[in-house]
Amino acid sequence: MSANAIEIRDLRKSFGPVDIIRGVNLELRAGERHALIGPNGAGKSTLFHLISGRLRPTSGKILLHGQEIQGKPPARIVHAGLSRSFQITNIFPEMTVLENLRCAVLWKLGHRYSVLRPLGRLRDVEAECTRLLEELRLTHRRTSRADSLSYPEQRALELGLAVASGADTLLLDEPMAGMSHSETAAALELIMAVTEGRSLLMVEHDMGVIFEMADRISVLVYGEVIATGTPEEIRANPAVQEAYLGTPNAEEAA
Amino acid sequence: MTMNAIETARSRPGQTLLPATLPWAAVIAVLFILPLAFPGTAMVSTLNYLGTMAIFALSYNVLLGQTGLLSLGHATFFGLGGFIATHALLGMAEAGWAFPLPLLPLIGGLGAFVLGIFGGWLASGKGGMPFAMITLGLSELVYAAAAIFPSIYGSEEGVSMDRMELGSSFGMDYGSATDIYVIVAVWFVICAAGLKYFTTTPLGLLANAVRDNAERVEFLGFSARRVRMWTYAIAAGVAGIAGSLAAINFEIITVIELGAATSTLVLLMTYIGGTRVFFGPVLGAVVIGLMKVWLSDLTPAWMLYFGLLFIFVVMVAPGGLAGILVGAGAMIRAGRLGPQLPLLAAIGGLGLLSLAGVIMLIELGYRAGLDAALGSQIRILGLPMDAHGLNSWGLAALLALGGALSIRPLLSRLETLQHRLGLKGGDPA
Ligand SMILES: Nc1ncnc2c1ncn2[C@@H]1O[C@H](COP(=O)(O)OP(=O)(O)O)[C@@H](O)[C@H]1O
Ligand SMILES: [Mg+2]
Repeated sequence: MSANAIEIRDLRKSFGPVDIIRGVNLELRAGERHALIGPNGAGKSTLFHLISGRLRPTSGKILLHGQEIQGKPPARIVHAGLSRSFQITNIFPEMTVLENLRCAVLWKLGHRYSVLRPLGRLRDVEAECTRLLEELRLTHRRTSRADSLSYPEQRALELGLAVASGADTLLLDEPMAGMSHSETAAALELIMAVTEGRSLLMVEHDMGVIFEMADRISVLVYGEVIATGTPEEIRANPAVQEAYLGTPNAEEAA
Repeated sequence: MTMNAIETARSRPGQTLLPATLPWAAVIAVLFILPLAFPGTAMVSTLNYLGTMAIFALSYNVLLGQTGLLSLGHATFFGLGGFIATHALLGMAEAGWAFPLPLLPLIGGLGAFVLGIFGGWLASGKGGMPFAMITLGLSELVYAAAAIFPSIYGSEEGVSMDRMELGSSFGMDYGSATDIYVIVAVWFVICAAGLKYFTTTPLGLLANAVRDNAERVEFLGFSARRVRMWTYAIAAGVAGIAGSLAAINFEIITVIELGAATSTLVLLMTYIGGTRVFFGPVLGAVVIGLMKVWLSDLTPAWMLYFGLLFIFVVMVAPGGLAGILVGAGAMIRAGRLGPQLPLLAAIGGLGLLSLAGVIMLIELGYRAGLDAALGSQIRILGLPMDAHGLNSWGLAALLALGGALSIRPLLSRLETLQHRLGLKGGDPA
């Protein structure tokens, strides 16, 4: 067992002739909350796709708890203990909120592809879903179709699908994008609660949020991590200031 | 917290037991009444055919409605199930085994299930277009193979059997159509209940998830391919049961049963009946089955009507016939059907007139073309008409066009009314 939840070594990804991820090195320590920031198009989502198995890297290594996972299919990576949410809401639109969550907890509770008992009789599934609904503040929406939810509710469900799988390592891609100020505050509180005791790597643009929640920050610019450090270190880093924070309207540009 | 407790209490299985068993009681009651209401060998044989197709369509909907998979070769398993059951019966009869005939579909179903695992493994890598194409390819393969193995598939005339050869069991000798009706009805209840149960299981839910968003399923730890493969095998197994029942009912099975025409038939039945309501495919099987049985006696153009119905459903009612019924039921319960009734009746009446015109056009066309040898005089919908007569064609065209054109303004009025009733742009329920 390594002390790092994720270790990325010289990771590269090119789409045809275009290099998008150009030698990324990154460590997510076990139990830390780590923010990934960087301008639009820097490759943050692509990096998440590589870690979670949606994309295959061109070269380089990704270790999850010391085990190589690069190039493995997403389901295997989930079994190894990593789950994720998506920047663009990626839920089951025609199913109810409860059904969405049931799907997400089935694997960890060991029911898998079972046909032995109806879901209504699986006490553990019901208990876990009730708990999640409560936590996500979606209890009153449990029988609503997912595509009928408001945007913040859909984002909460998106987050719920990621945390429900029980993985100890979480990747959250802009979980609060597009939310109002008050919605963001509520979402942040929720994220802090559901990620308690897990390792978290999160893409986020809101500097206020980042400095409040992150133990460490990495800055990705043009497919390279140009700096990693505590919020104070990042704030003081001249390279970061120049490449990213230095622009006068950094927060909106991000 | 209290709200929450109330809601959980409401959704307890015990609470929902009554409404959940009610439709089943109705199904069983209908199955009891049907042969009494429609006695006679021909009628009961038709009922047997309809029951068989209803099971077949239910099995197809496991793929189409539940998993979102468009199979173009589902008849493969219907046909193979029938052949397996037929050869099992012939073999056991020759060996002198006493195997009860009602259990024969178990053999056909199991055989089709095993073949379905294999086929599903091949077809399930992706959904969508690749799945449709692979299922089409597999079914063409099996169909072509039939020509190579005449000893298994028979030649043109198929393989026949005598269902009484296995002897009597359960107090029936299986000579009469009513005996077969009992077998079909019991298997219908078993298959429908089994498939309904399947929708409530983890795998059944994952099938819905694969339909909605196959990629996301992978990020929850599941293999969409495995889900597709198992649903494919289950659908194949139930289709095999239906095919076995068809073989028992007709005492013959031919390669047509596993060909593209049969695959298309079950697709149309399921879609027209409605894929999002559990019993929708049954409705489709009954309506299309009756059209096939009765209409093919009345007119050579029955396939055309069938196509028209399909186009109508695709364009006007994508929820199928069951979708229309469920929508209407919701409106009645909400008390919002009443204000629409006069308009709906007018639209329906004009629609019928237009339909009559279309029927006349089609029948006149057939009589003037393909069936010209039968002479130009023909009775259509009770009216004497002439395939060479200007009046007949004129009346037909007038009805068809006039009806269709006068419906249009009514449709927009209906839409305005539905807006006012708050039925559009939101869920009617
Ligand atoms: N499948 C793809 N093919 C080609 N280019 C891609 C693909 N996916 C992403 N890109 C490009 O990679 C760059 C990084 O995208 P992304 O990772 O989404 O950035 P970020 O999440 O940091 O805003 C963008 O320029 C984008 O256009
Ligand atoms: Mg992004």
